[in-house]
Order: sequence, then C-alpha cells, then structure tokens
Amino acid sequence: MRRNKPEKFLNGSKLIMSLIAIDVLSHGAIALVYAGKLVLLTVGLNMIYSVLKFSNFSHAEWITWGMFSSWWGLQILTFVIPWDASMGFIINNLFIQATFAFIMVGILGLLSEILVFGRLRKLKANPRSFTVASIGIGLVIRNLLAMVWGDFPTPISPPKLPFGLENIIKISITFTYRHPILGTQSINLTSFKIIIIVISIITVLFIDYLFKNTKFGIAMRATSDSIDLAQVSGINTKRIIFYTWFIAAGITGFGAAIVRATQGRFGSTDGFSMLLPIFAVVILGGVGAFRGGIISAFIIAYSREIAAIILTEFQKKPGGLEYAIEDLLGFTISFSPGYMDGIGFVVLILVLLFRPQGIFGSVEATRARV
Amino acid sequence: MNKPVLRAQNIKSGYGKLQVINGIDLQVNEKELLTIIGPNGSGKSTLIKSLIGLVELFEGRVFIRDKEVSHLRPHEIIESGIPLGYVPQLANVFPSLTIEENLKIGLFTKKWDDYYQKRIKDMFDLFPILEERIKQKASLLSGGERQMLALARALMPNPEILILDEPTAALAPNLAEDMFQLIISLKKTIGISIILVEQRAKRSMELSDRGIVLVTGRIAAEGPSNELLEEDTIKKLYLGVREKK
Amino acid sequence: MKNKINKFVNRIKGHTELILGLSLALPIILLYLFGLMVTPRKTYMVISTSLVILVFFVGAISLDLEVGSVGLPNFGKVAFFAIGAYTSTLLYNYFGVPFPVAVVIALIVSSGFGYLISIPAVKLRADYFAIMTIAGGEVIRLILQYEQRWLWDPTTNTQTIANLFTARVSTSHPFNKYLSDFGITIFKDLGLGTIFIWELTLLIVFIIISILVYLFVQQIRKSPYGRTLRAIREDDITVTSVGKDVGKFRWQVTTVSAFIAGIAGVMYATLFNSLDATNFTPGLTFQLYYLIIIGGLGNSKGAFAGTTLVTLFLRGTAVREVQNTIKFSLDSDTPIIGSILQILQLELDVNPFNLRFVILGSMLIAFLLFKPAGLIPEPRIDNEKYLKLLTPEERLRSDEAVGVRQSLTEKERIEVEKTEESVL
Repeated sequence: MRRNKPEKFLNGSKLIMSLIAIDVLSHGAIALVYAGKLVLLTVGLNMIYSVLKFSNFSHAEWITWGMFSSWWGLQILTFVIPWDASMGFIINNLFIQATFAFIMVGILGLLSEILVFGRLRKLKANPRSFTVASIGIGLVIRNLLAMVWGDFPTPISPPKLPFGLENIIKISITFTYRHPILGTQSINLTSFKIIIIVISIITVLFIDYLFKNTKFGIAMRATSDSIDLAQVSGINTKRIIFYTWFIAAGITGFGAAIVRATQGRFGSTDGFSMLLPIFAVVILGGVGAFRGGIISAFIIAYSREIAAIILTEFQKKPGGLEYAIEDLLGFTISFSPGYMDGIGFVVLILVLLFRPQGIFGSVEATRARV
Repeated sequence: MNKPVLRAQNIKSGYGKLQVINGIDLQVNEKELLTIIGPNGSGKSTLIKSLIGLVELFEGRVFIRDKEVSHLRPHEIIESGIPLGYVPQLANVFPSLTIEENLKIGLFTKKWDDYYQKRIKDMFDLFPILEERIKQKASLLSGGERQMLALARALMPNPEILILDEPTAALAPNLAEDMFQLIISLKKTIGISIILVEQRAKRSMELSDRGIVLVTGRIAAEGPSNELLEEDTIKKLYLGVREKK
Repeated sequence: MKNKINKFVNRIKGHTELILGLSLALPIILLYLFGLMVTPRKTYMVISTSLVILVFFVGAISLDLEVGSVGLPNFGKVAFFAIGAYTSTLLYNYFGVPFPVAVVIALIVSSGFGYLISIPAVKLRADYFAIMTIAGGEVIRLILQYEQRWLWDPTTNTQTIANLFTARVSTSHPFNKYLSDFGITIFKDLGLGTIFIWELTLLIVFIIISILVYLFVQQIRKSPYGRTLRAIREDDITVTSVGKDVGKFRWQVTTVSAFIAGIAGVMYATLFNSLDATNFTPGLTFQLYYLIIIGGLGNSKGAFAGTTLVTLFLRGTAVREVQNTIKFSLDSDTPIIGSILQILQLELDVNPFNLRFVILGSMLIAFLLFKPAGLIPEPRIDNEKYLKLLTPEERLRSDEAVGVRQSLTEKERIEVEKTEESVL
C-alpha cells in the first residue's frame, strides 16, 4: 500500500494528536484494577511454588471453582432462606460468598494434597509428575463443573457489600475532565473495583508477614528447603503442608469470588485463560517474594494496558501506529488486538531466559530441592 | 557403668520394597562416642535415619532413655520431649533461612524467648564466626561454615545424643581434623553421647570409644574401638592399612 | 496346594501390566465397537480414527523422545505441529512451492526451532522449562491467529487458512472417487459405507511414515547413543564427569524430536481442508502427555498403546449417537437423593462429552500414582546389569542428590527382592 507524502504527513500528525489525547487516567485505572485482580489470584500460586516447588496448573481450576462456588453459595442461600428485597444485602452478600468460596476452594486444595500430591511425594516422584498430575486434576475439575453447572451459568444481580456499605459510604470514584488538547480524561471506579485493590494489598501484606515474621512462616520456608531436616527440627511438616494448601487455595477462591463479582458472566474456562499471565506475575516478581508480586502485577497489568492502547487505538487506520511504522520502515507486523495477551507470555519467556529468579526472588528458589 | 541413652533392638528397615537394614542391635551409653564405619552402600545413613524416625522400621524397636520411639516420626519424638541432635550428610542447613533463623528452628517446639537467646549466646561461644553473619542467609556460607551452623542448630535444644552423618565428608583434611577435635571436646565438656557415621574410618575409630562395622545392612564387627583397630581383617578391609612386604 | 497357589499368584504378579492393559483395553474397545455399530458411517469412522491415531502416534514418539528418553519436559509440543503444518501449507499455497519441497522446508524449520529450545533447557529447572515452552507455544499460536498482514488467508481475510493441497488433491482424479467406483463394492454391500480413495491413500502413506519413524527411533534407543541418553536422564552430572558433552546430546535430541513433531504436524494438516490456529492450543500438548504416560514412557510401543487406547476412548465417546445414549441427569426429581440435591441446589448433567475427560484425567492421575511407568514400561534389559553394580544406598543417594531430571521409571527399578543373598 503506497501512501504518498501528504498522506503520510497527515497520518503522522493524526498519530501524534491521538497520542496526546490518550485517556491516561482511565487506562491507568483499568490497569490498576487488573493489577489488583492479578495480585489476588497469584498469591496462592506463589505460596505453592515457594513451599512445594512445582508448578501447580490446577491453580486455574481453583480460580474457576472459586467463581462457581461463590455463585453456588448464593444459590443455596436464596433457596433455603425466604427473602425479599430488603434482605438483599444479607443474602446476596459479597463477603459471605467470598468466604464460602475460601472454604470450598480450600477444601479442594486440601483434597488434592491428600489424594494426589501427598502420595506422589511419598513416592518421591519428580516435579514433572506433580505438574502433570495438577494438569490432570484441572481437567477433571473443569469438566465436573461443566457437568454440574454447564459452561456458562447466568448469574443474577451483582452481590452487595455487607451492611449495605455501598449505601452508607458511597465508595465510588467517578471523574471526568475534558480538555481541548488532552482530550477526555476520566476515571470510573465502582466500589467493587476499589475493594479489589484494597483487599489485594491487604492480602499480600498479610501473607508476606506470615512468611517472614511468624513461626509458621519460618516452618513453611524450612519445609520448602528440606522436609527431612524440618522434621528433625521438630516441625510437623505434614500439618504445615496441609495448611499451606488450604490457605493458598482458600485465598485464591476468595479472590476469585470477588473478581467474579465484577464480571458479568463466568465460565468453566475462565481460570485456564488467566493461567499464563498469572504464572508470568509470579515468576517475574520472584517465587516467594510476595510484595514483589505486587510490583510484577503492576508491570504486567500496565504493559498489557499499554499494549492494548497501542494495538486498538492505533491499529490499521489513518493516524494509526501501524501505518506510521510502515511509512517509516517500509514494512510492519499487524497491530492486532489479539496480541494484547501475548505481552504476558513474552514477559514470561524473557524473564525465564535471562533472570529466572525474577526481580525479587532468590536464586535458591530456582533450584530443585536436594 | 554408664547407662544407655539409645537402644535399638533387631531393627530392619528400608525404602518401600527395598530392605536395607537386616537386623541390627545397637546401644549407645552416656558420654560415649560410637562410630559406625563400613563400605559405601552398606546402609550407614539408613541405619541412623531409622533410629530417629526418618526411615520407617519394618521390624524392631528403638528406645531413647527408656522411652520407645520406634514408630514415631522425628517431630513426634521431639514433641514428646526428647530433643534430637541430628546432622544429615547432605542438606544440613536451611539455605533460604538466615543463620539466626536456622538456629531458632533448632528450638522449634519451644517458645522463642529468653531461653533461646541464652542458647544462641552459647552457640556463638562455640562458633564465633556465626555471630558475625547472623542475619545472612545460610546459602552464602562456605562448606565448613555450614557444617558449623548445622552442628550449632542440632545442639540448640540441648540434646542428650548427637547423631552425625559423615560430618567431615565435604571438608578439607585440616578442617576435618578440627571437626574431630570439636566433636571430642563436645563429648568432654557437655557430656553428650555421640553416634558418628564416618568414611575416615581409621581416624574416627582412634577417637571414639566404641565402633561398629556395617556391611550390607548387618553388623560385621563391633566392640571397643581400640580392639577393632587391632583386628586384622578390619584393618585390611576398612582401615586402609597396607600389608607390609 | 499352597505352593501351587503361590506360584500361580506370582506368575500373575509378573504380568500385572498385561492384565491392567487388558482390563482397560477391553471396555474401551467395546465402547468403540458400540459407537461403530451405532453410527451410520462405519468405514469413515474406522479410517478417520486410524488416521488420527497415526498422527498422534508420531507426535507421541516425538514427545517421548524428549521426555522419556532425555527427561526434558517440553510442554510446547503443539507449536512444532503448528510450524510443520503452517510452513508447508503457506509455502504451497502462496509461494508456489511444490508440496514435497514445502514439506522438506517445513521440517527444516521445525528442526531449527527444536535446536533453539535446547539453549534454555540447560539453565532452567524442569518445571520452569515447562512453563517457558507453554508460553512459547502460545506466542506462536497467537502470531498464527492474529498476524493479519503476513499470515492470514488473503481470500477470506480470516486466520483460517485453506489447505489447498488437501483441497486440490482430494478433489482430483483418482482421489475423489470411492472404492466402489473401482468395482470393490464389498464394504458398500455389507452396509458399512463407502471408502474415499483419498482417505485410503492417506492411510497407507501414514502407515508407512509411522513405521519408518518407529524404526528410526528404535534404532536410536537400542544403540549406545540411546544408552547414553538414558544415562543422562538418570544422572547427568555423572555422565558429564565421564567426559560426555551432555549439551550436545540435548540439542541433538530436541532437534530430532522437533523434526518428528514437524512430520506429525504436516500429517495433521493434510487431514483438514483448512488450518485454524485455535486448534493448536496447549490442550493438544497435554493430550500427548496423557498418551505417553498411560501408554508408557521411554518406549515407542508404549506410545502406540497409549495413543490407541486413549484415541479409541475419545472417539468412541464422541459419536453423537453414543452421546445421546449415555446421557442422564441427576436433579431434584431423582429419587432418594433428589431432595438433598434440591437443598444444595445442584443438578448433575452427566454427559459423555464432559464425563470422558473426567475419566481421562482420573486415569492419568491413577497411572501417575500407581503405575508411573505406564502400561508398557521401558524395557529394563540394559539397566539390570548397571543396577546390580550399584548398592541400594548408592541408588537411593543418586536419587536424592540428583533428583531433578530423573524419569518416572527409576522408582520402578528400585524393586529388589528380599532374598537371602543380600546377607553377608
């Protein structure tokens, strides 16, 4: 496609104009929420990685089960308790649902350890067997969920915060600002989205404190280094491992329930589609580095957002980045929005190639347990 | 006559279907240093792991100070009030924990308060180098330093018996000798009983009170060390004494 | 009498794999035969199942070479399928390259990528390598799916690329005819349906290719080269200390494995009239893993057994008529448990589509737990001599100290009988 000089100039200036007019605030807010979601959903994976030293692919199904079970809890409640509109916030209550999900997914994690992973560990199987087993568990759960609830259950109205918080405290931030050159800058954060951000930070700080400053945390880290040595020091490693699974899975379920509340629909493949970006966050931040996970979640979320901006607002059209690069270099690849998710994968590959311990992780964590 | 600290009766153990220890009786008395030697693969490590519950017993019984610990896992033994001092051959420290945390773990079942502080001070008297680097991660230590940390951790709960699996394996000869001297002095000063598994058969036998020669999971010879040192077959096979031509 | 019973029991014990294999194979074969009876297009079903089995067999051999022989958990196998499939198709479609040449180029490209994979394999711990390969595979899939400028079909302007080779050949003489057109009407007369010549040709070609690949890989396995590979899998540190360049073996294996996967990819492509990037997801790689773990790691016969059983199972349950037959629901109307289900607001819609994956996943886990060596374990002939030289502690010590790259079958091997000779 040959474009002549005036056309090129026009395209170039359109590009620069739209660059300036990006709704930075809005995109920034979206990425912030996405980062919060990532953090919530990655803490559990990080725990399992760090204490048990294998990639738990069934983590995807923890997320899915968290979404489904929170919805299921609601179903049971609505059926069992006769209610009317005024009881909405008791019945359709976010924290009740999330807590229920915590317990349900925690049980799933515990069962996986009792039935599968604990036995594999006794057999001294290598980490690859654990990973493949986790893939198998994921396959089973995914299809069981589809059999019970179908692939896309239709949720009813979004859940409410306890005690009618959203009526008492109007925690939503909406802000729009129009500027002649800078264009529209807006933020629209509803209460749920703010909750996600707040809870994710609290969760991370809590787990981090647990790992570093409590006796339990030291026991977890010791178990991760050497089960035998930990036992000989008096640590009941079996119990530590059980707790680790329950907490890691539970947190993931809790987070998934909250995430589900912000999404309209959810399906049996939701967890799996988020799996690789989640692994990217954990590995980029560093296994065992929970606070580092916040930073890596930000990096992944913001790079995805930037990629989204570049790919959508600047696609194949006059004034688009794709045309601009083609004009400059003579050729280009396509700026398809589908590449948006690819950012996470590319980050993952690069990190693993050049710095497998991530930003904050320790190199020991990348070695196998001896 | 010293009373026994640890007794094992006719123990048979192994891994899964693999039987490694084929019926062993053993006893360690107070203030005694018992050395176990034998060829590679004879089951020395498995034997001591069986004594403390890391390896499950197929048959037999183990007693520590008259309390039966035969089918207890190590942490259960410790929780029942019997501190274990065990230093494995590989993976003898926690690399991702700091030196201080490694030592704290030695007292895991106790409250981490004043008692722990006092014990830490005692360890630093024994191993001054650990004090300088107390906040460092154990992965940064050299082999010899790790060995010291491992020993310190094992000694933290004031155990009555110390079990060491080839403590000098990764050490250079002069450091190995230091380690031997340290072990002897521990026995003399604290009065602790020690079970030592060693490859440096001759030297360790010279320093110990009694010895056991283990071959394919059974006791080939046992007795006071000085007698074992003199016995011809033992000399040739395990003590590396060459025939004089 | 007791002795006779003992002897009998011992003989059976020696054949546990055979019994297990039969008890799995029988119901699956029956299921498949049921599906066969129920479907109207019987010959088509048999041929298409065979074609799929052969494609996945080649793919499974490729994966088994990496995982079972050298211990490299490559979870991005599907990417090599895609590279083989897309390179050959694109070259043929848009660059006028004759098909055989296109295939050769595709295999070279695929092998090239295989070589590249060996570079990170050195530095990374096993499961990090696994993740990296998954991510890599997905990146390739994304490019194939979304690269509008370079990789989309210009006629339809979608990511689905027409497979012109298959389209053209299968519609030209004589491939577009049926067996019955040539006077071979026996299948039609028996009511089994007709056989398309193109499919028959594919079947014959695939069989030849599979046999060649099988023989090639068997040669590798039985040779001293193969023994070194197994040694690397068990304990690569010792192998290095003996002076062998482990790195060289590694890239050679990944390259050959990629070459074979490329072949499988081309085979896969010729089955369809168009290529759709959404078919090349990690799920395909996972399926290959199920095949070799159930069938048996480290040997091609195991790969074949696993592929056949799992494919028959999946295909048998995919028949629409079977799906309609085995379908029931448990809900509030069900007797006895109905009321509990209602309080719990649960409804179980048992259908073969999902149920088969539940069964497959459970089988996978069961094999990992109870028969990690698979149905047909790796033959132990060479290793017996090697193992007898080691003492139990040494065998176990090498496990603990170098546990990372071991194969699953190593645990199987440490089964020494309790005999009196273990005594002094």
